[in-house]
Amino acid sequence: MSDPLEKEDMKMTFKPLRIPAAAAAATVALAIAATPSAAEWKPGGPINLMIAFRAGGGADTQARLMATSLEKTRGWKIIPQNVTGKGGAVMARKLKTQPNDGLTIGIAVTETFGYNILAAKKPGYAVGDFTYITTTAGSQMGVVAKASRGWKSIHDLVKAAKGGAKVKFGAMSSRLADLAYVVQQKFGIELNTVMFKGGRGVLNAITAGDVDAGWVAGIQGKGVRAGDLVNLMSGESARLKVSPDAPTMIELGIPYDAGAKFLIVAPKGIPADARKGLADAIAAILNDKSTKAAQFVTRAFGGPLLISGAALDKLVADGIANSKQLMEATQ
Amino acid sequence: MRADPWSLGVAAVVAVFALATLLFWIPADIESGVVETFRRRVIIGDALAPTVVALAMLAVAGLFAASELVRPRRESAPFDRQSALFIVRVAAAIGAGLALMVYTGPLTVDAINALGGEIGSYRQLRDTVPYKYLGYLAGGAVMVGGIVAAVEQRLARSAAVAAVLAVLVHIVLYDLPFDDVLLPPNGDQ
Repeated sequence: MSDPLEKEDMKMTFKPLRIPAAAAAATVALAIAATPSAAEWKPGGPINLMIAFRAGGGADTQARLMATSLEKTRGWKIIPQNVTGKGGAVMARKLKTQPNDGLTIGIAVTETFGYNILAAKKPGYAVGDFTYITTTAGSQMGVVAKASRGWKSIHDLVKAAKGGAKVKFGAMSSRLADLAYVVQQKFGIELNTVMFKGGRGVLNAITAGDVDAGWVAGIQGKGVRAGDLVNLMSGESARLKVSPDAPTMIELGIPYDAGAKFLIVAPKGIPADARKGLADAIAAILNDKSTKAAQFVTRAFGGPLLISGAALDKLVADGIANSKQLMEATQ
Repeated sequence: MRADPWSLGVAAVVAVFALATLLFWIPADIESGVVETFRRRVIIGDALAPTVVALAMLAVAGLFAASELVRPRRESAPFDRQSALFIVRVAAAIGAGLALMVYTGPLTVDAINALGGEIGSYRQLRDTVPYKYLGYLAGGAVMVGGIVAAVEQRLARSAAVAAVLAVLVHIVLYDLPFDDVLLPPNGDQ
């Protein structure tokens, strides 16, 4: 359609403006700086963010703060929605049916797209049903106990178990229960593994004395710093930032990484510019220390962990291979 | 005094539904059992809750039928043509309301685009005024107004106005105060 203003403009005559060259150059520079580059992707409408975690937990808080930061810094509209259940499977099943236009994304953990697919009889989704956008943070997975128990390291727990104490151990996923079983096998002890909903559930049980120790993915940091809790062992491939003295499982001869990474995913086949645009936007807010999202991720998970593109595809593929190995070892 | 055949029919329908749920639906749709061992742990399966509900429905249907056979009620409301019409009218109001809720927004946007508006897709506009309210307003008003009309057995202008107002109040209560809430059907777009 023709613009009706065009004809009006043609009739008008303008007096030439004299603008100093420096001012003109500055104006052009400002205009360029203020205009998004042509390659920058912008969503065509509001983005639904499906959160595979219960409202109020650390992962949910991270997701909602990221949404707020994206809205503030990019002007995007993000609508968070908790779609919980089955370790992220409920969210994954719903997400894979959504249009692949970048307007629906989800947040879960790497476990959802690895171990959980292999462990379920009918997962209802496959690794190939998604485009993986970026990781946001890694867990700070540790075996945690109350400081008042007097255990300083995993060896104290093992000593207590070998001395006849019945050790109740909390876990929040089947994979972590398997890894607790690997710990049992390694040290020749028996743990009574109790399942909880989320790391918050395990931490609450530890604090209340319902279990003696258990896996917690990062929210124990505040309690550890305050001296109320102790990380007995790091479940990550590296030592925990808040407890550098606690050995890793790998250092103790257990060749697994219990850590999880938070992962933003979209339905399979979203446009490459949308994949990159989303990853770049999330990286920008998590690398900007002034955003609440970055501050929370640093406080709860030791800082952002951003893996995207081909490296992320490899991470997901490796997760499947490692999960197969773990499941075979814990049959 | 004979047992009311409609009461026995309701009991039979509920019992058949409960049995079908127990024997066919749950085994076909739910992967885990009632209680099972999963990777060395005994866990409550997903089938436990629906199995308990289906068994409860079966028990209630049996008790209902037995009470009707042992001690039939002296007065039972007749199920006549008017009763059937009432059910059809309410169902039609709900069906039409849901259809309007789902399709009014997308069809309006499609029409505007077809006329050269180039406003984008409804999915892109699902959180934009006025498009986001079109389906909820049209569908909700027809649903509420239709049910009122079915109950009153007449189509009064006051009922139509009350229906529109009721939906507007819903919008004011459930949409305006919240940034992150999408009214139906926008969450599924």
